[in-house]
Amino acid sequence: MKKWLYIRRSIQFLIIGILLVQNFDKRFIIGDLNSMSILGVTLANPFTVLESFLGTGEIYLPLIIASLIVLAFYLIVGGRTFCGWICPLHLVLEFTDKIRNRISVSNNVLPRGTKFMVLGLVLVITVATGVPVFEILSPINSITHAIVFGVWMGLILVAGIILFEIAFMKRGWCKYLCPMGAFYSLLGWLSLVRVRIDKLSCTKCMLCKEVCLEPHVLESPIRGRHEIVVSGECTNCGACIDRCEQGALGFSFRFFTKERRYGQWQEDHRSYPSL
Amino acid sequence: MSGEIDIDKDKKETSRRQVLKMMAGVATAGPFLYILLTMTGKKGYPFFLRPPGAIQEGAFNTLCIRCGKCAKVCPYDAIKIADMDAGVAAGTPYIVARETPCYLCPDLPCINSCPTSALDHSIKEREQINMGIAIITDREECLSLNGIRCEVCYRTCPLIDRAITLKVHPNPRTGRHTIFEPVVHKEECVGCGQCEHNCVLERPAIRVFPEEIIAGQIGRHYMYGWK
Repeated sequence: MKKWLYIRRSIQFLIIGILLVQNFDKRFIIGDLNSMSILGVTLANPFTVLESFLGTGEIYLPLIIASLIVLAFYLIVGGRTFCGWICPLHLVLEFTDKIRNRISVSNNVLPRGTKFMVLGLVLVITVATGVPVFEILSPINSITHAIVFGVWMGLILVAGIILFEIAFMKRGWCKYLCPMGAFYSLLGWLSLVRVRIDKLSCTKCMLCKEVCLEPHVLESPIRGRHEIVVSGECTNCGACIDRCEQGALGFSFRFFTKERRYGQWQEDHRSYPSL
Repeated sequence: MSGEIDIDKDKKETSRRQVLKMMAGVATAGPFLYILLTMTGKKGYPFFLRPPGAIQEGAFNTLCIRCGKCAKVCPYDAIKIADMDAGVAAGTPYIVARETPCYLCPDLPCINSCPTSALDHSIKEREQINMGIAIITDREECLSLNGIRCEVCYRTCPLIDRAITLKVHPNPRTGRHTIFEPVVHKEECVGCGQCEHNCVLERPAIRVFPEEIIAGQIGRHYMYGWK
């Protein structure tokens, strides 16, 4: 029933395990989420590389290759797959959300474009001052560095975000503020693996939207405007697939589905009276 | 299911209640930011002795992507990672020579592991490293300069007789002995910190600093007549 949740949790804890195991064995995997060497293959986080490039204007050639590998990977599996499946902060905040549901206080929303503005701000500051802002004040770095190197002070920042979310905003950091997520959302517009809704079995019960981190991404496939989720903000977490009682949702490749536009929707509407 | 379903619609208006909530939010976030900012840069990092091959400090902080691989590959665990209180340098690698100096591995694993050019990949020999310069900071406490046969810094220097040499002169106190003065040559010294690590004093009389902190530089308009 909760197939994707179990798979995703395993991956998330695997990532934490990979970070943790470096304290005991450094032969196979070293590095944090900014750059990691797995059996000698160097991978680099494209957003971090972009920041370092914008700050200095110079870039080391193997670093381009390392980040292109990762870029290509996310272009296939979905930009914000990083958020949903890799990012340790996301895992922490998912559990925060569970606590929040128990003691739910107020909830606020911000405009959805906020994180893109934060991204723009971070990049502009990086270009203007040469200081890589989201390297220094990054709660993601804080967590990974606490695990890998035992430097704990950044966890104050993480604790602040946790309290902020419990008190004021459901998943506020991931939805509205994180520039890393915004960067991966931009990649996500182009990526291939997509959540697909089977129009014939969908009953429009909206249970999928209830469990979704970014419910607006499901809007267009539910309404039948597209067959798949087209928004880049989908984290491909699979919560909607697990939740659907009709089995109407599933992962699909973009190549295999037709992205139906509005005109086609009207045609479908005529051919499928159940809609 | 507690409360209504969050369908995440942007609210058009901001009520007084919401403004109050936001102010309460700032009031909670404020102390955290305050703690963070007061910690930033106040505790203990007067300067950073960077790993071998590190480029100029300012560009280093930007080019370094804080992956910490240099720290992980260091066989002596000499390379540490700066905490959040280091401000701009948070997450970057550094060395505390007194605790664990750089042992100048001939294969330079730290430089080879760096995915960026923050550690200069053109360095192939350990003599090319320029982490810093050693300097005898307390000439009055230095045992060798007091006429005692210590010279531990000279003996433990990996570049013995090149980076540190012994200069002999008569001991005026006894009138019959010799002072063996360790002299650091900044052209040769790579700043590995072995001397600082091994100095027998309780606090070292010889220390290593990054070049830009202690090295003098003659003006460009100035030249020696004999060079």
